[in-house]
Amino acid sequence: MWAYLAKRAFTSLAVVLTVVVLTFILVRIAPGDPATLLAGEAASPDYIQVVRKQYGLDKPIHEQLVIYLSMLVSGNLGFSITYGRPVIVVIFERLPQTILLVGTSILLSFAIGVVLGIFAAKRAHGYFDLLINAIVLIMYSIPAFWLGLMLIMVFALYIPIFPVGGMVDIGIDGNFFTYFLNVLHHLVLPAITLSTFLIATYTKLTRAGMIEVLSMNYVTLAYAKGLSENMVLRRHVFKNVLLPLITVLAIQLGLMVGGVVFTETIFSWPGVGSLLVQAVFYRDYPLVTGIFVFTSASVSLANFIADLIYVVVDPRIRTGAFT
Amino acid sequence: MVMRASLLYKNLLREKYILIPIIIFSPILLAAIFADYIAPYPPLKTGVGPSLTEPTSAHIMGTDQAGGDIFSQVVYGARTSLYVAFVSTTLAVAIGLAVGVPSGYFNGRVDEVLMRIVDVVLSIPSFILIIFLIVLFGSNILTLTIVIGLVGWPTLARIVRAQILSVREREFVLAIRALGASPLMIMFNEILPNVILPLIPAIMLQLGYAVLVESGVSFLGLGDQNIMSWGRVLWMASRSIYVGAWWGLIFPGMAILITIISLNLLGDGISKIINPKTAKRG
Repeated sequence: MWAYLAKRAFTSLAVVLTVVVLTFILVRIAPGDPATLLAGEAASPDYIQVVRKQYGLDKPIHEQLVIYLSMLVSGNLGFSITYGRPVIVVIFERLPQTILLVGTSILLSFAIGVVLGIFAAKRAHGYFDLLINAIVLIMYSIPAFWLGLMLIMVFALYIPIFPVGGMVDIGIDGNFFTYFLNVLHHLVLPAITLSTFLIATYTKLTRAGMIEVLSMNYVTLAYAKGLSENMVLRRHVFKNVLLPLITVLAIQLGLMVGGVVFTETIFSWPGVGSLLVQAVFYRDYPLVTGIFVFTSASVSLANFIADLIYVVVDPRIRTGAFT
Repeated sequence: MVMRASLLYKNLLREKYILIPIIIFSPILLAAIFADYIAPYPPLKTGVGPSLTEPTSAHIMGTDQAGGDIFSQVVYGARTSLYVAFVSTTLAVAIGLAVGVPSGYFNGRVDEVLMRIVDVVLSIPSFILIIFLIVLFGSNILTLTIVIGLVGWPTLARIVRAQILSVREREFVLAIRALGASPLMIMFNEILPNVILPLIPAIMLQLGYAVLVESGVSFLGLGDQNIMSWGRVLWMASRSIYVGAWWGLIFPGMAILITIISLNLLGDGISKIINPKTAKRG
């Protein structure tokens, strides 16, 4: 178990280090002056000189790397010119909104995907299963940016039951409850947009897992012992089907990042994803770099936490029967 | 996975559903190849009709804000999407083979190091890396294509490695090795042909991913300004939907959806043809 965790921790650290060194190298081989790339296009000549000094751009390359690494270790991701604040502060202001959107979507897709997958597997290759398979194929293939726009067009413009964007109505006052409902109302369309791909993934995996586990000998034995179907599913099947989904979720997080960028941009959701697009638009290079490094680190951390949870809940890994 | 051609052909005949993706995908493929003959207008030309007209006989998919013909844009968009997808996927497959083959064949320490690299690359949020690279190196179609290829190889490398691990101990490989063939010869002549076929479903997924990323990048307004793309049409349409112009959204979106669905279906179908037993379970 410890060897397994150590390996996973090593991979997570390696990811962060790779991303950091990669950004360091890319900024220096990209066309243009590295000082401008580290300051942002809107920076004044004086400020660019300050940045040149701060990052030690007149020093040899290995010293530059040491300076860059020590800045990052102390939590300094640079300074955003367009926001006039440190990059890390700007990111943290946007983070809660992204966590709200991503968290809601994950819970939603887990619940829907698992239920659909179980029902599809119960009557595998029946009509209901075929229907679910067809729906899953479409949900799996539909691009988030197109789905989001379609939802806006239909449910915010033609049938205006949801807002076209934003997280909360401007100038809303009232108690916490009305505020909460207002945010929830704004959350519906973005959450659907972001969950669609995940729902499809969970349905597919749950269905495949169910079909595989149901054919196992120990399940046949459980039925032979005279247990009811409910009992068999609850005691013997669900655990083995649902646990692997934790790992899948962690892998999906990295892929989800793209969906978050599109969804937040389309719905003007004030999170890290729309922040990235704004930063690109204003050529705020430190902010773009900062978001890249921050996102990679967060995804690696989430992956590692998922591994930890998996080890805790799965006795086969805990006892070392599995590596 | 060693399979005789006749058996493969028999499976192909049984798996008739593979015709569905081929049929729905062929118009898009034809549009990409014969765009110059099909499209009534050049892709980037504006003002060929009035601004934002509904689909009519003159403009069967309507026009955009600047009076560009959306049908022409969608037709040329197919060319861009498929070009980016094919070139970037070829690059990804090449790197995937270059990493996967030695990893699976030599096993041991080489394998350990290469697979750790694969783990790491796989964990980097690739979409943000792509955006980051475009910001630094400019949004040129070739850059975008190369970048998509450069982030797409790890999954392919993993599959190649797994395939090689299962093939390298087979009797015919052992026999050739006993005859004194060099590792390089064994890799190219005996193992590689048995690796390519099982790789096809993953290649289909990678093609779909490339189409998605290319249109996504253009949709964010970061695409090559000199080239038409489905994402770019959607990007322009995203402002016009507020005045009721649905056509700019529907047609390019359907094109992307059809392309990705047919690539996914093709992948599924091909894996059933190659591997009927395991496919039946899932």
